[in-house]
Formats: sequence, C-alpha cells, structure tokens
Amino acid sequence: MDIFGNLYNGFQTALSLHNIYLCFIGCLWGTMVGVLPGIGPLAGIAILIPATYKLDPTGAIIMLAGIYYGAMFGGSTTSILMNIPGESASVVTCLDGYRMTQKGRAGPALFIAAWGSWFGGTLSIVGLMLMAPILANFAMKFGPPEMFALLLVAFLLLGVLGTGSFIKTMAMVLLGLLIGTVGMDPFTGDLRFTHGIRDLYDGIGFVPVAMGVFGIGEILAATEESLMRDVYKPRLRELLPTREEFRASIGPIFRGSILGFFVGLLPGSAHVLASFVSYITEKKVAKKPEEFGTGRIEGVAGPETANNAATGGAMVPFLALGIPTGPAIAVMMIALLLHGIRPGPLMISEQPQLFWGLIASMYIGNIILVALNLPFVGLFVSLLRVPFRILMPMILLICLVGTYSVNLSSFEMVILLCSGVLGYFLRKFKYDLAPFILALILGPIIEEAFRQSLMRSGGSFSIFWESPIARTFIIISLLLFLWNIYNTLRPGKRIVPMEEGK
Amino acid sequence: MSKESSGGLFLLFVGSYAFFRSIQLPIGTWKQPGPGLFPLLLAVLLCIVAALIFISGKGKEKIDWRGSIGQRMKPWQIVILTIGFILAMKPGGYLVTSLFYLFGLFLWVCRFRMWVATVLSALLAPATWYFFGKILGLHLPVGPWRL
Repeated sequence: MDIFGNLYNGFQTALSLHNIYLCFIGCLWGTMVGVLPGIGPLAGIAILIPATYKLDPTGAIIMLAGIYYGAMFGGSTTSILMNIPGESASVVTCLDGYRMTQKGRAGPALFIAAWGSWFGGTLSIVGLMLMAPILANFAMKFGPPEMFALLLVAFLLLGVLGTGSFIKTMAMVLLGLLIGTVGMDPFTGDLRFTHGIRDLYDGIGFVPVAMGVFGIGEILAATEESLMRDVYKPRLRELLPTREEFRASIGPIFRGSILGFFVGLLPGSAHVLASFVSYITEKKVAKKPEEFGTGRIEGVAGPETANNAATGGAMVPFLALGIPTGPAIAVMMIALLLHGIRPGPLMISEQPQLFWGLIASMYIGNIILVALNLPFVGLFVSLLRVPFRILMPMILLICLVGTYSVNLSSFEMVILLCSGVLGYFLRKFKYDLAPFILALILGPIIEEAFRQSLMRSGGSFSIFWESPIARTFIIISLLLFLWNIYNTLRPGKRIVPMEEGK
Repeated sequence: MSKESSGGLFLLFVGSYAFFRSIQLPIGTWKQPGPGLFPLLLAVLLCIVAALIFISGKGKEKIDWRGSIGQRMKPWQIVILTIGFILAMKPGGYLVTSLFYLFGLFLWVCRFRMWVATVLSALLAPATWYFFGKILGLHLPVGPWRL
C-alpha cells in the first residue's frame, strides 16, 4: 500500500503540465540524440545541464531521464533503416533489423522495436519501483568499509563485462581513478597534481572529460572514415507487423525485459551487454538459429527490449546507492549534484517527491516515446539525410558550448579537447572507455571510503573483514579477480560489446 | 612498435609521473593516510599493469601508419581549429568566433567549396547563437561587438 500511495503522489507530481512538458522535451531531444550517430545520450544530457539550472530538481531529472531512455528508443531507428547504430546499444539490432529493411519489412521492425522498448521499459520501471527502496534501506547500513568493498566489486565487474582484456580494462580504471585525484585533497586541503593551475584546484570536471572522450574522440575517429548510406523512409501504413511476426516477438520481448533489467544493475556497458545477451539467448532458444542475421523479428524484438529494460535496472544502484553504473547516468548525477541533491539511500527517504515523481514520469515518458517513435518516424529519419559533413561541425560546437556553459570556463574546453585527443587514441588502441569514465566519477568516493575506513580502524585493514557486508563484497571481489586472471591466462572467444556513452 | 606496446608505454609514463608527484606529497601513515597515499598506490598499480600491457604487445601487429595522409590529417585539423576557437571565444565573442570556426571546419576539414562553407557558416553560426543564447538562456561571451 505504501508503494501505491507513493506512486500516486509521484503521478500527482509527474502529471503537472510543467513536468509533462519537460518529459516531452527530454524524450524528443533523447530520440533525436539517439537517431543521430555522433551524439550519444551522454552528450545529449550534458548539453542540457545548463538549461536545467532554472528548473527545480524534480523537473531537471525528469527531463534528463527522458533524454536517457529516449536515446535508447531512438537508437534503433538508424540501426534498422541504415545499418548504422544510433548509439552503441543498438549495434545488435543492425544484424537482423537492417536485413528486414532490405526485405521490405522496415515498418514492422520499427513497430516491434518500439513496442518491445515500451514493454521492457515499463517492466523495468516496475522493477525499479520495487527494488530501489529495498536496496536503499539496505544501503543505510553501509559505512565506509562497506562502500569501499562495494566499489571494489563494481570495478572488478567491469573487468568481466568490459571490452577487451581484463588488464587493459584495469588500466583504464586506474587511469580514471588517478585523474580523479587531481585537485584539492578533501581531507587535508593539499593540492595534488595541479601544477599551480587555479582551474585545477577543484579537480578535473567530469562533464568535459566525458564529453571529450565520447563526443570529441568519436568525431576525431569518425573523420577518418567515410559515412555514406542510403536512407529508407517507411510510410505509416507500412508499420504494422503480421500476426506471425507479432506472435514471434512475444517471447523475446518478455525474456528481454527480465534479462535487460537484471543486466542493467551491473556497472559498465549495461545497455550494450543487455542487448548482446538477449540476442544470444534468442538465438539459443530459437528453432532455427541459423536464420538469425537474415532478418528474424526475434533478433530485433529481444535486443531492443533488453536495452530499454536495462534503463530501469541501471537506475536502481544510481538512485538507491548513489552509484552511477554508466557514463550517461553519471552525467545525470552531476546534474543532480549541481542542484544540491545527492542520489543515494537518503534521497529516497528525504526527497520522496523527487524519486516517485521520476518513477511516474518514466511511465509517462514511455508512452510519449511510443507516440513519438512510430507515427513520426519519418520526421526523425529526415534528420539522417543531413550529411555527416554538416553534422560534424555542429556536434563539435554543441560539445564546446555545452562544456563552457557548465562553469563558464574556457579551461574546461581545453580539458574537453585534451580528453577528446585522449579518447581518440584510446579508441585507436582498442581501450574500453566506459571504465575510465566510471572510475573518474567514483574515484573520489572510493578514496574517501578507503581513508575513512583506515582512520576508523587505526590503520588496520581488518575493518574490511569485520563487517559481514564488507566481508561478502571482499570475497566477491577476490573471486572476480581470480576469474579475470583465469580468463586472461586462458584466452578464448569473448562477447565484446562496444562501450557505452555514444 | 605494436599498439599494445605503445599504449603500455604511454600508461607507464603516466604512472611514473604520478608516482614521482605522489611521493612529494605527505604520505601519512595507515592510521592517518595523507593526500599522497591513494595516488601513490594507484600509480604503482598502474605502472605494473602498464608494464604487463607493454610486454603483452611484443610480437603483436605493428601500428600501420599507411593510409591516406589526408584522412589522417583531419583529426589534427579539427584540433588546431578548436584550439583557435577556445582561445578566441572570450575575447572575440561567441557569434563571430563560431562563424570563423564553422567556416574553417566546413572549408578545411569537410572540404566544401568556399561559397558553400561561407553560406553554411553564415546560416548556422547565428542559428546556434540564437538557440544557445536565447532559447536555452546560456551565457555566451559577447566580445567587443556586444553580440
């Protein structure tokens, strides 16, 4: 009853004209961002952070969350119509989605992708609604040792789930943690790695680094390739699937929803991983797995559902524990911090209207997205006719202005550019970018937890063993570490999802 | 040198730099960790991991520096133009600087003809100024032209 009461209050908040408008703007911008290759949800959210200054925190997060899951909806459009993933989580959709377009079945593919996304998104919101308060209550028992141990698990999980090798992933984690130490030490006030540069006293901003690595870095890499594609524009009456296609998509949608939600709880490239896991699952359960890749509706339904369901799953640790599990959510965290709100266990109890307002707006947003993505798919597809040679300078300008606007600082644009060059080279050398960004934002938290734990225990590491919760996490960390080492020493074929953030 | 070895070398350089800067900070004790302790631990771990990556790169595929010079120059052209934009934006104002920045990108990087680059930048620079400044309400530098 408490949940329903809270949800009712949440709908009262979300159904205000102002918040519906913000949800709509977020969903619209998110869909556009998802459709356009080159701008991902991360850049899409970061660009609108300054626009949220005038908003209340609830309105701000409703809009930013709309961009986040809107981008997941929009990303499937280019995958299906052009064989170009709008964002990395839609890579798998290209395999069967584009084949369906080539067979003249683009409309049903888009319809099922939208329907599956809606269903998966809605189910994951239910999961979020049920799990987040429980997890938040559990997290109230967390002290510094528990937090340190939990983050250790999160970083080692990245090694299992990230692209490439465990060692390269750990290198990115360590690099991100190191860069996160730049600035004033929060305990003693000493300056670290600032070289007398005043702009570095507050540390290196997460937004310019994230936008640089994912946005500018992506652009720099993309200019070395040529992107010329035909664009298919389906008519509204061609959208409906046949009865057989609809029936065939029910199982994958249902399985994708469950898989996507639980994979979304994991740190790293949750959306990407969710879509890959779903695709593999559907292939395994299919009667004719050899037909995957030739235009099977199951190859679209499952992954698209899973990648949207991962949204709700990803929100659980973010809202309940204050741990962002992906770069785009980390940017949302920055936006909330700018409003003086720290996501975590206390937020749900102290700011219930924000949490439940967000939950309710996600239900509304899902409906808005289906209404936007199906009848107006032609409009969004028109965006793709804009040549990349025209889009690219605009994306650069958007990244520069978005970065500048956060603190009105030219120095942050320098950070943006340097991060872009770094991201370019990391891409060339096949390093996973998501662990780097997550470590950058979680670094100060893990350091604080580590030092506080040692100060409490008088320098004894046994504090990490004394607490049952911390002990459990440490054991999991050890197992993950050993598993990663085992995998490294016995190389085999791994599923390697692309990084998130674009 | 292979990609792995190059990447490992870069990370080793970063780790070494962090190590030497960290030991110049107060390390403190385990009971009272100083500001240098955590970066020092990270630096040591990074050096170890970087060394492993460097070693693993031996015998692997070397970096292929062939390919169109023109294509490979494009990222650096973008970097040069962006440096110019960053330096000029505050003194010159957003509108004028973005006009020249877009013109440079359209002409030099995207290889549009001069008149096309001119038209595109003349249209898009004011459009972005209006969108960012008036619609989103962002505070953009006005420069000496007060625009």
